[in-house]
Amino acid sequence: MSSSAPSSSTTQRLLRELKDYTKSPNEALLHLGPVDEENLLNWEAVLKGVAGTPYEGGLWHLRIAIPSNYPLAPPTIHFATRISHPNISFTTGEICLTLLTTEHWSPVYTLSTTLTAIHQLLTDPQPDSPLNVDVAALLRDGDVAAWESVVRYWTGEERWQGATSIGR
Amino acid sequence: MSKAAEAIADSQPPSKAKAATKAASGPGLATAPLKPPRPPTPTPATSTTELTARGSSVSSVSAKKDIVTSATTSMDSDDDFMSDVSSQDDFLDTQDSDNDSLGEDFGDLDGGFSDDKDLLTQKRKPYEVEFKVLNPADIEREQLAQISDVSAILGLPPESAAILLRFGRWKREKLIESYMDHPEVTLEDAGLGTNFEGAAKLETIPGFMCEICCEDGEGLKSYAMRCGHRFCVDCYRHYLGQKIKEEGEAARIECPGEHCHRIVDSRSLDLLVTNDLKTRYRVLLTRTYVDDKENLRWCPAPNCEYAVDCHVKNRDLRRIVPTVKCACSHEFCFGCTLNDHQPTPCGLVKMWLQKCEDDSETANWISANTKECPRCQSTIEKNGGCNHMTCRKCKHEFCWMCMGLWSEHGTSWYNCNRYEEKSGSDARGAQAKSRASLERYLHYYNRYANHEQSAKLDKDLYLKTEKKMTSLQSQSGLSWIEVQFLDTASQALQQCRQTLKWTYAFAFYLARNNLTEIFEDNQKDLEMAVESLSEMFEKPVPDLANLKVDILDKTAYCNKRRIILLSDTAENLKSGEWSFNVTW
Repeated sequence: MSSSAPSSSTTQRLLRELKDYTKSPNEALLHLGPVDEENLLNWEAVLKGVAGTPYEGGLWHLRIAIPSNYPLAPPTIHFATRISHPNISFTTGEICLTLLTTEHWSPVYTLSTTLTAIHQLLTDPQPDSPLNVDVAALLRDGDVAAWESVVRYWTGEERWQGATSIGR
Repeated sequence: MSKAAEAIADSQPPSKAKAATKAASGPGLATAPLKPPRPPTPTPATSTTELTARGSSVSSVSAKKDIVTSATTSMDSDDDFMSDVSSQDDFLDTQDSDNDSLGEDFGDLDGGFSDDKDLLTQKRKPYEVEFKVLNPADIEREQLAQISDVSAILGLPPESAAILLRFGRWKREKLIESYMDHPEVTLEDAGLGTNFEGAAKLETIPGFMCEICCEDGEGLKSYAMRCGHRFCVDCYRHYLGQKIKEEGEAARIECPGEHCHRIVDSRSLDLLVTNDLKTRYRVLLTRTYVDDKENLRWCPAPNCEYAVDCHVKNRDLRRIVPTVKCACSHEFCFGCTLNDHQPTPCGLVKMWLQKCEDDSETANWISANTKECPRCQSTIEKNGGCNHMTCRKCKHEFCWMCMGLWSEHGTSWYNCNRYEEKSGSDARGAQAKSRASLERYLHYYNRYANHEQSAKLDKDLYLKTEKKMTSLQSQSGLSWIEVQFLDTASQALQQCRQTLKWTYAFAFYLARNNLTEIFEDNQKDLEMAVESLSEMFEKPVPDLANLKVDILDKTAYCNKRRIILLSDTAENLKSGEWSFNVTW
């Protein structure tokens, strides 16, 4: 779906979102925008870790695929940088977030607000519907110390090193 | 005929109709629970004309003509006649006065059900249940009646009452109660606001920008439900199109607004979308209506658009096998929607089908091709010609023919005629034990499968019946009406085989006792009758005309035996008399 050409309303909406983001950037993000000028349906973002959590200081690169009927259908977002989180697959970077499902998606959400939701997911993991069972098990057993150290390790180890083209 | 009957039905005063109904469903009737329309007969005066009323009220299900006589003859017991008027009362409420009483009837479900049970035991054959068939228009009408009823009671607009009812899964009483107790909470949970002000209309608001497409042109038409989330008409339309067409959603389409759980109501929808989407929307709503209601099930036949209304609950399925017949003539079990599986209850049917899927082919092969090592019970397939077997597992040496020790065999296996010799019979005894259960299963399975197979063959024959009947007409000079007996016979054959098939699954799970003996006797009687009818049926065409009386007799006998068997089984099932060798 995302490969077909976007309709004019989708293009208009995406351009508008881009403008809005440059006007008022999102605190949670280091970067948000299309990967290249050619394809408006292929975006990327860099997410910042939340201070005061084991994710503090982390940077993660996210790939965003936008369907051609956006915003009626939700974007598909993956972590390209590996992250240890109960609701994010360690291997594929898939995110388990109700907001990103067709049933719960609202066309009023923007890419920026969606990424804010993902950012909030970092502080508020849901170990009862895990994608990463190992780390979720730690949390469920109440071994917070172990969980924090695992998360901290991967946050430092995998931290996105940046590419010259992205960032401020 | 059914049209005329309906007219009569409408003109009948309700009290008379009730009495009539009773009379109609006495023990003499040979039809499904729905009594088909029948022409009025002059005697006995009151009751027979009234019969018509009841028959037609039940609707379109297939008509049979033998009713009038049986109905009149069934008037034999006055006690019986009186005793059921009250339960019939309930029945008529549901059937006749559709629109106005539907709501009430719905609320009364539980009360009504106990009456229904009386109805089952006293008037229908014990294995029949009461049901009615609804066409899409009926379903739509039922929905609307309930909506307008609740709308009137709660003083809400119909489209809001509809949302409320769907939220409460059409449990009217519960819903009204919860609304009376906490109106705000109920409305909020259902996805309705407390604000019912203002009419739904498209508006052009100066300075408005649509949050979805970021359009802000002059004169842009926009729409907002009562939650106030306003979007341009195009976006709203696309959004609804996406939900209805792509996602198949109808009952719970939420406002596109962020975190807004207001449900898009039908009036808003009507305002916004095209006609084909509206149609699709209604279809989807009807679908959720039938899915939501416990007493409704879609007919599972391909392309059938009828639903069946039956008040048998899931918890009753241990005691009742609710077979219903759709207007498309498909007979299925209301409990599990599988094809008619009288007399076996749903729970056992499920176990049986599961077992057959897992076991039968493998078990058949094992039984045909292998034996078990007399010492370690390993299953062994003979792969060479010699009868001297050495078990690969336990190295036990034995004779394939008699299963006795090989050491007891002389130099030649020809001496192996010592059937009663001790070691051999011991080994066979042990084997018999381990294999008994398999044999037992296969016994029942083979008969089950055989009836299934035979039914198919009979069906093929049935397809040729039409041709046969034509040739019979020309060869014997019989009229079309006169050769209908073949058609009747063929149908009886199908039905009896279907029943017989399932008696074997049923018997497999029965523990042995006196009741089981009676059951098997009934089974035997029916099976013998069916086989001889099947045989007659296969006779060459010229003989058929001479066999007409025999075939008619046999058909009637088969049907009778089937009813006896099913009635007996159903009665014992209802009173919990059967003991099973499994828990289910």
